[in-house]
Amino acid sequence: MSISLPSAPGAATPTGESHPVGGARPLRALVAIATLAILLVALFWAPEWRSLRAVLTVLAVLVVPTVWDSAARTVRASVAAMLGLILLALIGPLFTRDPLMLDVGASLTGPSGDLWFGTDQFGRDIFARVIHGAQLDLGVGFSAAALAVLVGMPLGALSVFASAHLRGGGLFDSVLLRVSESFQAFPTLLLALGIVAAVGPSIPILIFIISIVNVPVYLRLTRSAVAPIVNADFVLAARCAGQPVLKILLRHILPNVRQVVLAQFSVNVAWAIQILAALSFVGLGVPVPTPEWGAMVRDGYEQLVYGRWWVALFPGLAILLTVLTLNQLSDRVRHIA
Amino acid sequence: MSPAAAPDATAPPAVDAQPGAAAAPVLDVADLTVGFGSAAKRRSIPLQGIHLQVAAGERMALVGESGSGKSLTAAAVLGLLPEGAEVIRGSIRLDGEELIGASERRLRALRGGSMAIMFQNPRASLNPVLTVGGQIAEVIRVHGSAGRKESWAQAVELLAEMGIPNAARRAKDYVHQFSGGMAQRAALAMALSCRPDLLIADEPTTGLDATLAQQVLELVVERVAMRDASLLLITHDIAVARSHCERTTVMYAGRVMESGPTASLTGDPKNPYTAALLKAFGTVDQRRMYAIGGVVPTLLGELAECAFADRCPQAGPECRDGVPELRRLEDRRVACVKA
Amino acid sequence: MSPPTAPADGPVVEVRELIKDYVTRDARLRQHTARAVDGVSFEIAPGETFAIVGESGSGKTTVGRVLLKLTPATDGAVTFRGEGILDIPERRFRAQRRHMQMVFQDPLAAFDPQTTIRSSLREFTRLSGIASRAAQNEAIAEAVRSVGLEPEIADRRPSQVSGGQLQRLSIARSLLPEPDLLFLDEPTSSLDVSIRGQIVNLLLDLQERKDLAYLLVAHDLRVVYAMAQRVAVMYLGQFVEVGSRDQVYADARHPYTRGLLEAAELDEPARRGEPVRLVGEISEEAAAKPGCRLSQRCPFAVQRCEDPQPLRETAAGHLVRCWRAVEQPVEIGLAALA
Repeated sequence: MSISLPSAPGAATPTGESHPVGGARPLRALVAIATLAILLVALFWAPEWRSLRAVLTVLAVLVVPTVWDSAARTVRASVAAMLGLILLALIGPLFTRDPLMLDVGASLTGPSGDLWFGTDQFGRDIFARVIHGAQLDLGVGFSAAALAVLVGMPLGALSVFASAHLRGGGLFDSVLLRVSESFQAFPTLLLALGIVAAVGPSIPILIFIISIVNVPVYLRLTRSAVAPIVNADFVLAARCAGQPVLKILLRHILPNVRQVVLAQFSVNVAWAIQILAALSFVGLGVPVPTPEWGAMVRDGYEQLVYGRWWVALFPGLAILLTVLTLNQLSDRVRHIA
Repeated sequence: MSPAAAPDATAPPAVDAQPGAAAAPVLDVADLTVGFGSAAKRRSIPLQGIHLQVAAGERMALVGESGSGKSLTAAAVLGLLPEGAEVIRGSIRLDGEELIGASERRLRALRGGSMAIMFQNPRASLNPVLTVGGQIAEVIRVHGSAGRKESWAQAVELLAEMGIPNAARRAKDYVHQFSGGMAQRAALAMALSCRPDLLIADEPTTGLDATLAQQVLELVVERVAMRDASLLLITHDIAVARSHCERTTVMYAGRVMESGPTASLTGDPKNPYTAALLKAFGTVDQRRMYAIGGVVPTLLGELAECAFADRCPQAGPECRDGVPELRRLEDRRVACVKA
Repeated sequence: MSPPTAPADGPVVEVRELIKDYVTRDARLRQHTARAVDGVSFEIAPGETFAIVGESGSGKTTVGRVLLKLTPATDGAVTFRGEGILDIPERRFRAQRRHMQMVFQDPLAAFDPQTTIRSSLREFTRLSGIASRAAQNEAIAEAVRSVGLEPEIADRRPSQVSGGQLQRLSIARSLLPEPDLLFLDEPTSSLDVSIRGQIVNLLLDLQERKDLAYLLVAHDLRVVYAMAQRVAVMYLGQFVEVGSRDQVYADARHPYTRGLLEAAELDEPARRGEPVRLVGEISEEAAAKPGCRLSQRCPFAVQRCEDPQPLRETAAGHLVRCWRAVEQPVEIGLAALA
C-alpha cells in the first residue's frame, strides 16, 4: 500500500494570526532612533547651538519613551531599542566628562548648553553620571537576571522532569518548591540588609543578592511552563530513543519553553535594576561615589524641595526609559510564543 | 445490526421522503456556499452548495470526517461563522425566516430561542463561575414569566429530568464539579431550557466513553422527541446516525454526497463514499480492515470534478467531467454520476 | 490465528502482578496514593497482538508506559526477552531500549514541534548504532518507504503533513531501532474513519513481515477485533476479563465486557448472552473498594459482589473476575458453561 503526497502541504500550515515580525514597523522605529541619534550628535558637535541643545535634550528624553512605545511594536523594533540602550551604555562613557570630577564651585547648577543635565551638590556632571550609571545598572541588571535564569531554569525544568520520570523525583520537586517559597516569602530588602551588613556592600554581592531573590521566580515559571509538556508524547518518544535526561531537557523541553522564559528575562532585568535602585536609595547599594541611578535619585530627592528638579529627574528618567524598554521587549517576545 | 434500530414509541412518525411536501421544514438550507477570504482573494471554499432540510420533530444526522464541513454548516446556521468566512450564496431558513443577512441581534434572539446548541465539550456551553442551576434558571426567566423561585424550581426539575441524581443539591454546584457525563446532561438541560424548535448537537459524545456515550445519546434523542423538537446531530460516526436518526446527510469535502432516510441510505447506499464509510465502520474482518486509500482533502478550492474521485474505488473518466450535481434519486438526493 | 496461550519458544515479554501507584504530595509533604494499575499479569509471544481495552481512567495506557519503563513501577515484575527489567537502572537499560518501542495516539503530539520530522527520526537511528549521517539518512529513507511514503516528506515539519501521514511516520520512527515489541497506544483514535483502516492494515503487514509482538491499547473494538489474538478488558486498574479474541467477543462473560460490546454496536453479536446496559460512569472512588469495582453500574450486582473478586478461569485461557458469571451464568443472561 502506498499513497501519494499531495502537491501542497497539509492544511495544518498555520495561516492564522501571525505577529508582524519585519515589515514597516521596525523600519519606522529605526528611523526614529536614527533621527534622535543624529540630532544628538549634531548638537554635540555644533557649539553655536548650545542654548538650543539643553531644551532639545530634555525634549528628546521626554519624547523618547513615547516614540519607543509607539514605534517598538514588533520584536525586532524592541530588540533594536534595547540594543540602542546597551550601545549607549557601552560607548557613551567615552564621550562624556569624568563622572567623579568634583567642582564644588559649580555645584547645583541647572541644565545648560554646557552641562546638559546640570550638576549635583558636589558639582559633578549629571549627564556624565547618568551615562556611566547606565553601564553599572544595565550590567548589574543583566548579570543578576542571567545568573537567576542559569540557576532557576534548569532547576525548575529538572524538578518537574524528575517528578514525572525519575524515582524519588516527587520528593525533590516538593522540597525545592518549599525552599523557593520560603525564599520568596522573605522580604528582599531585609535579606539584602542582612547580607550587606554581614559582608559589606560590593557589586558582586549585590548581583548575588538580586539573583538569589530571582531564582525562585524562574524556578516556578519554568516549572509551570514545563509541566504541560514534560509528559508530552514527544518527550516520551525521546525517551524511547534512549536519549539521556540532560539531552532531552536541552534538546526537547527547554527550546519549547524558551519564549516564556525570555519574556520573563527582560522583565527581570528591569526588576533587578529597580531592586538595585531601591537598595541604593536606602543606602545599601553601590558604595559612593560610584555613579548609580538609584543612588543619584536619592541624592537628588532632597534637592527637589528647593526646586532643584534636575538632580533627581534625569537618573529617574533613565530608570523609567530602561524599564519601559525592557517591558516592551518582554511583551513583544511573549506574543510571538 | 438492523438499520435504524432506534426503539422508541415517543418518536413522531417518520417523515415523508419528500421534505417540504407537507409542512414547511423547521430548517431549510439551500445551496449554501461559504468561502474564506474576500471575493477578490478567495482562499478556500469549505462549503459548496449545501442542501439540508430538517422537518418538524425529525432527527437528522449530518455525517462526515474532519474537514467535511459538517461543523461549519452548523456554525453557518447558528450565525457563528468564524472570522474571515462569508456566505457566498444560498439561503438558510429557520421556521421560514431567512437567516442570511439577519441582524446580529435577531440571530442572538434565535440562538437562545428557536434553536439551541450542544457542543462536544459540555463545559463550553456552561459558565464556570455561575452555578449550573443558576444559569439554567436565568434562561428560563428570560424566556418566560417565571419568577426567581419558580425558575429555580424548573431548573432543578429539568436537571432531574436529564437524569442527574440529587438535582436539587447538584443545581448549586459549578460545572467543574460535574463529571463528563453529568456535565453533558447539564448542557442538554441548558439547551432545552429555552424550549427550542431545533437542537443542534455537534459531536455531543465524542469525548465520552462508549458506555456513557450511548446513555447520553439516547437521552438526547428521547428528550428532544418528548418536546416535539427537531434534532440536527453532527457526528463522524455513521453507526451513531444509523441507530439514532431517521434521516442522514453525508458530507465530504464541503459537499453533500448523499442524503435520505437513514434506513434506505445505510441499507442501500447510492454514493460510493457512503458505502465506503459504512464499510469502514461495519464489518470487521480477521487481520484486515476496510481502508479507503489516499488522504482526506483539506484547503478546498473550486473543483472541476467529483471531490471523492481520487479515492473512489468506482471512479471512471465521467467522474472527472465536472462536479456531480446533487440530484433526486428515488427517496433521496445523491451527488454521484454513477448512481 | 495463533493459539491463545504463548507458544513454546517463550514470550517476548512477561508481566507479573504489576502495580503502579501515583503519589502526589500536598503542601505538608503528606503522600496521597492513587492506584492506577492493580495486579496485572499477562505475556505476549513473538508475532502476537495482545490488546487491552477499557474506558479512559481504566489504567490501560499506564500498563504500557510502565512496561516500557517510561514511568517507574510500584511493584511487580516485567521480564523482557528473559531478563527482569524493572530494577535495571536507566543508564544500563538503554541498550535494551531499542527492542521495545511505542506508537502514540496523537501523532502531532508525538513529534517535537520545533524540529523537522527527519531530525526526530535521526534520534532513533542512533539507537541501533548507525553513526554516519549518510547511513542514517539511508535508514530513514528506507523506513519512510516501508510505511508507504516518499522519503522527501521527512524534511517537513510535523504540522505540515496530514494526520494519517504523520501516524505512518510515527510508525516508521518506532521501527527504526528494529524492536521486538511495539506498544501501540490508541494508534488510530485521532485519525479520520477513512484513514483508520490504512493504519491498521499497515500495522498488520509490518507485524507479519517482522514478526513483531504488539501490545495494543485501544477503545475502538473494531480495531481490536481486526488486530488482536488475545484481549484483556480492564476496569479501574484490574483485568476483569482475559481471553482469546473470540472468547471475549463471542462469549463475553463479564457484565462490563458485555456492556462495552453492546455500546460498540458491532456486527456479530454471536453468543454474548442478553444485552447488558451499564448505568452511570467510571468513578475513581470505586477503585478503593475491596470487592467488584463495577457493582454500582452493574444490573446484576448483589451483596456478595462486595467480597473480593479473583480472576477465575471459565475455559482454557478465558479468565473472568465475576463470581456470578462463573457460578450463576444463566441468572445473569448467559448460556450455561459447557
